[in-house]
This record gives sequence, C-alpha cells and structure tokens, in this order.
Amino acid sequence: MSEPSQEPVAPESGEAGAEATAGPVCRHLRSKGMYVYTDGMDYGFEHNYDSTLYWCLKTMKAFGPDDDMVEKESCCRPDRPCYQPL
Amino acid sequence: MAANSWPESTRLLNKDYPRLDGLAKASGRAKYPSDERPEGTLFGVILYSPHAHARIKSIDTAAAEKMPGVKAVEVIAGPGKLVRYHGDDIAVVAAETEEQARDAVRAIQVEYEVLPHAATEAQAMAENAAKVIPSGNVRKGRAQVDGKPEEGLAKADAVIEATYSVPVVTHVCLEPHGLTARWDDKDHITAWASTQAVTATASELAESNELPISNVTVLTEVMGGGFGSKFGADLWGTTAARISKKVGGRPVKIFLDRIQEHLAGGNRPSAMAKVKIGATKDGKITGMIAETFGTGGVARGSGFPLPYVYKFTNFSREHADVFVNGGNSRAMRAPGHPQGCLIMESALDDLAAKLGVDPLVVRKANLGKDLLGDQTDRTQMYLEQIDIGAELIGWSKNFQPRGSQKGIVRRGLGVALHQWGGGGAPDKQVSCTVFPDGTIELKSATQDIGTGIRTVMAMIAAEVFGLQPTDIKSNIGNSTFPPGQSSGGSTTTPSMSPPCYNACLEARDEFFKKIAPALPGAPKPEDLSLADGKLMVKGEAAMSFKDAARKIGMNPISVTGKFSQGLSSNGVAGVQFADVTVDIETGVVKLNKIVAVQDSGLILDKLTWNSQVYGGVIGGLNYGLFEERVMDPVSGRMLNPDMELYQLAGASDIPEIVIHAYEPAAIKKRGVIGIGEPPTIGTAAAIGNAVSNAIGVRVTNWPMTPINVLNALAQAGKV
Repeated sequence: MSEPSQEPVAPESGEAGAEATAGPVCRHLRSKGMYVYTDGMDYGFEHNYDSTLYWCLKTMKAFGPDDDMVEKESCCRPDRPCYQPL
Repeated sequence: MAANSWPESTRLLNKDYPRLDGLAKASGRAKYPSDERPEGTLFGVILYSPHAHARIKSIDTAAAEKMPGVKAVEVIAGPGKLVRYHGDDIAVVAAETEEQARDAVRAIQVEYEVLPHAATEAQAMAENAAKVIPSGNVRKGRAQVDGKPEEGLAKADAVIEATYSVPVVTHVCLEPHGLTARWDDKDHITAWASTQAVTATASELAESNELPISNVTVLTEVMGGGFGSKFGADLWGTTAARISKKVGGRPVKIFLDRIQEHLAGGNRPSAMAKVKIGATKDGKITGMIAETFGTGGVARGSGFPLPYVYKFTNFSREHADVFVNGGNSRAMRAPGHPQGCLIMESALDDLAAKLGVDPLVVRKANLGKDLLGDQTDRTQMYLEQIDIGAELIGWSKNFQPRGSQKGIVRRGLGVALHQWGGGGAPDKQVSCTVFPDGTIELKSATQDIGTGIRTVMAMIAAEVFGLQPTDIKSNIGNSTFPPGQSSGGSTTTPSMSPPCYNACLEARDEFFKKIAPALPGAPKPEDLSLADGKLMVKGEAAMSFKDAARKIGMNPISVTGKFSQGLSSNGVAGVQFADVTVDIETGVVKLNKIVAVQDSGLILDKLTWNSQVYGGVIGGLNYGLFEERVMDPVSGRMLNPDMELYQLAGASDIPEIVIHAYEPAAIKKRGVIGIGEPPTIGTAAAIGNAVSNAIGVRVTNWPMTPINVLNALAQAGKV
C-alpha cells in the first residue's frame, strides 16, 4: 500500500485554529482549539465548515460583556466596547 | 539525541496492558474531582432560567442570604440582563451543605420579562420568528463551489434528491462539569477540576482572578469523561473561585446536576441537509448540490464537512448556522464529522440503491485524496479496510439489495467510511526522573480523559528501563508539571508519547554514564543495557535495577524530553459495518453486530486502544438509535433533561462489536496517531444504512427510533 503523507500536524479543519485571523483578536477570546493546537501555525479556513464554539473570558459565555456574540470575526473590532487587543 | 522512530521489536509497546488505574476506578477507590471535599468545603448550587428567553427585571437575594448555612450569594445575571435558554445561569448560592444551598436557591426572587422565543430550528427559521440574536437567527456561511454541479448532474445515469436530518444530542459525561476552588492564601488558588485541560483551566482561573498562572494549581487525578466539553474553567469554575475569595478562602464546590448537564453542559449541533447527487452506472459521482443547516443553540458551530471522505468534482454546498433559544453546543467527539458522515453515506447508499449496484462498489469508485486538508491519500487504506470489514460482517453471504426482503422481521447490512486527523502538538514536554532508590517518575501537565495516557506513558518508560509499567510513577493531572497536551482532537497520545520516549531514552543514557565508572571493571556506558528489572553488562545480568540505581549517588537524574518528528503522525481512515434486524410492525431496531476497522498508526497499548474503539462505537450507536434533545416549541424548554427520557443504550442494546486494528507495517511506521475520535464517527451512518437496507425505505431522520422508522414506512406507503 502507499505510504500516507507525513506532513506537519494540522488541526482537524472545522475547529478553532483552522481559521484565518483578520487582525489582533481580543485577549479574552477563547476556544477549545486555542488550547489544543499550540504550534502557532495559521491554518487556512479552506473547507467552509466551522464547528468552533468561542467563549469570552470575561463572561465565560458565548456572549461578551456587551451582550453581543463572541466570535473571532467580531472580537477583533475596536468598536466593541469590551474589546481589548492581544 | 531525540528519537525519530520507535523500536522495531518491543516487549510491552504494541501489546495489551491493563490501565494502571483500572482497579481503582472499577472498585470505586479512585477519587474523581467531584469526589473531592477539602476541609471546610462550601457547596455551590446554581439558580438557572426556567424560561427560554427572558430579561431579568429584578432579583432579590435577601431572603436566601439569611437562610441557614448560607455563606454567599453571587448574582451572575442581574437586572437588565438577558437569559437566552432554559438552563441559563442566573445566580449561585454557596452554603455549608448542598441541601441548604438548594433551599436558598428556591428563596431567590426573580422577576422576569418573558420574551418570545424560538427554541426549534423550525421556529427560528419561520417568518416573523422571535430574534434569538439581534443580527438574525440564520447566518449563512461561505458557499463551496467546485466545478459545474448542474453539468455534472446532467451526466449522471441516476440522480437522487433527499433530505436527511439528525437532532441535537447533549453531552452525557458520567462525571458532571465543575470544580472545587480554594484560595490557599491571598495569592494562590488550588482547584480540583473535572477537565480535559488542566493548563487551560489554570490559565482561565488565573486570568479571571488576576493572578500569575503559576500561582494556580489545577488537579485532575482522574476524570469521568469530557468528550470535548470540558475545556477551561467554565462559568461555574470562575464563580466558585470568586466566592471562595469572598468567604475567606474556604473551598467552594460547584458541579452541575444531571438536569443542568443536559441544559447547559454542551451538545452536538443538529444537522439538516437537502442533497441532490448523481452518478454514472459504475458508481462514479458526477455532481452534488447540497443545502445544509444546523443549530448550536445560542451559539455558532453547527458546521460539518460535506462532501465527506469521497473525492469528486462538480459540487456546491451552502450551509447556515441557525440560532435557537437552547443551550449552546460544545465540541463533541469528532466535531462535525458524525453529521457529515451520516449525510454523505446516506446519500451514497440511496444513490447505490437507485443505480442498482452494491453499495460497496459506489464507495470504492469515489476514493481519492480527501477534501479535508491533511492531504492524506487514504485510497488504499479504505480499499483494504472495506474488504476486511465486508468479510467480518459477512457481506457477500448476507447482503441483499434494498427492497428485496419480505416479512415482518427483516435484516439489513450497512456501511460507512470516516476519517480524522489526530496528530501530535510539537511543544509538549515530559520529565523523567530516576531516583537513587530506583524510583522512576514521569511528570507532565496532561490528563487522562479515559484514553489511558497515564498507562501509555508508564509503558514507554518501562520499555526503555526494562521494568514493568507498575514500577513507574506516571504522574499527570497537575497544571504545575511540565507543559502537557490538552486532551482534544485525538491529540493526547501522539503529543505526549514522543516527549515521554525521548525523556526516558535520555534519562537512561545519563543513568548509564553515571553508574558505569562505579561498576566492577568500569565498563563503558555503551556496554550497559536494562532488561527484566536488571542491569546487564555486555548482555550478562549484573545486578538488579534498584541496586544499580544506588550507584548514581545521592542526587536523582532528571531529564525533560521534548517532541521529535517521526514518532507520531496524523490522518486516519476507518470503515464500519452494521448488521441490524428491524420489525416493520413496531419499528424496533435491534443491532446484531457492528464491525469497526480502524487504523491509527502505531498502537502503543492495544487494550486501551480497543477500549477507545468500543467506547466510540457505543457512543455512535447511541447517536444512531437513541439520543435526541427534545425542545418544547410552546414553552421553549427542553423536555427530556434527565436520564429517564433522554434515551441511551442499556447493556442489552449493545451488540457484538468486532474490532479490527488495521496496522500493516507501513501504518505502524507512521508512528502514533490519536484514536479518541475516529471510531465514533461512522457508526450512526452505518446503522442508518443497515435499517434502510432492511426495510427497503430510507429513514431520513435520526435517531432510528420506532417512530422515525414507522413514519418512514408510512410515508413510503409501506404500512
């Protein structure tokens, strides 16, 4: 049989760590993938599926102190009153 | 020098070894975090929302604060705050006993402004639906397009159109979520947490309490399951720490009860898919168009892979997250994959039935380098695994085409393919210390969520030092130890075994260097070896390992091992078959047999590896046959948040499970790959296909309960 690839470890796409980062995310943004995939690689979000659940360290919920949703795409917006860049 | 391969010949590794803490766990002696009651422990009980959607108008805790035994009341959602689902946290009472805390929770007066809700996907997607989040209840993801789907479908000899769905299922960890937190002094916290990430939990407790991370110690000696849902300190953990500080450092224990586990402990999102797919007579897929959605409750995260496993062009897929007033999702064993698998495999089976070809032919015709990004070409693995599984389930003898059976009780076979990543993180460490009395201690800040990493690490050390795993102190579950892997994504064993092996090799070599001059005749270090608990000099037993260890002097040898390439890899394939019997008058499905063929590189402990596959299959058959979060559209509440109405398999529901570890030499050479996730992915899909094969009709809605089976038969005019 053919030898499978031995490429560097990538997160199973669809989990956190598998998304492109647009800018500095809030220092209070958390996800499971941030704790699991710690090699610092930036994996492209190439498969159009995302099963990541984010939470905020300030509220420990999926909603931030401003009652808006916690997610990578919006927890990098300076116009959110609770935003604190990394 | 770090190793880049595992030894060809092994005494312990790649064989069966019982887990070191197995007896303690089976006998009840093991102390789980939820068993811990440090002196002076207060018990925290949570007041949660009875409403699906409401605004807190006022909250009065005065009466509760005066009740016997109550030491603190902490409000989480004060006036003006929204609660977004049945089970959303409002306040916590800490008291001397759990009963006192429960009484006091009942004394808290909350005035709610009850708001319109959307507790089901249908409610959330309806016109004029109550808004779950301000931006709208449906959020479309980026569309996937590859080639020209319509043109592809036009080339097909057969096209099917179908809708498939699987509901939200909740995490049902045996040990609930929670921790006990204690302020040891004004600068230090100790927490006993049921977590799959001691370091993450320490980090979150530290940050939320503005302490240095090194001032927080999180302990998880053993834990009762997490499956992806126990990362970080959680609201309950940070609240316990806050209350502990408030009451002068007394330990505060907050663990969810079983109802809260269902409501707020996390779940796997639902999935619905409308699929149009076509293929030529030889089973080659020519095109697919899919529209899908799912809900992760009040959070996103319902995405799943589709296409799944199979390689073809000319497809398009659109997916939307639907927000409902329900507890939010959390990662659950192979996030997204079970949903993607059962939708893809159902569509493929329906296509095979329409083409009139063997379902295995369609699978084999569409393999190739997968679409999920790790670039592993699993084609050959799948071809061999399908043949192995087919033989074990008796496919050639027992498979009958869909719709060919008569009678009330019918038997069917089904198949499903799955895949997973499961590689190792390259920044983890393990320390190995050899003490002068011969004790060998391993340390790392990882934890055993059930996969057996404590035992695997001890096996590695025992292999290197010529000892038994029971001779090794394999210490994990402490956040202050060298950085260890958080247990998610099937990464623990591939992350921890390389640094463990390297630490042991280096410590052993250091040991040889240190004792060689003190041995009779002063042999060279390279003349020394270890076997059967003895030091060998030029292959001859010289003394016991313990006696040899005394020659290192008064100070131990301690080495911290790091990750090295070549010892682990990622990317696995798996094939599962199901054999079922269905009574078409009652709709009852009985599982006869499940075959699980799985690769995961080099298997270090075959016994714990098999346990993972058994557990994965049992989790998968629960998904296929029983589990469903039932939401009441009228009240917006979950109707079955208990272990009576939330159905799981009992012992008599578990069929014969045949496991085949697929590990030819080329697979073993890949090194260690995780096994936690893969074996749970394909089971529900295989069961669904077997049921359809038996009754001649596709049951489009999971789980395969009698009502869903009978509905499918009725809709097809078969009853």
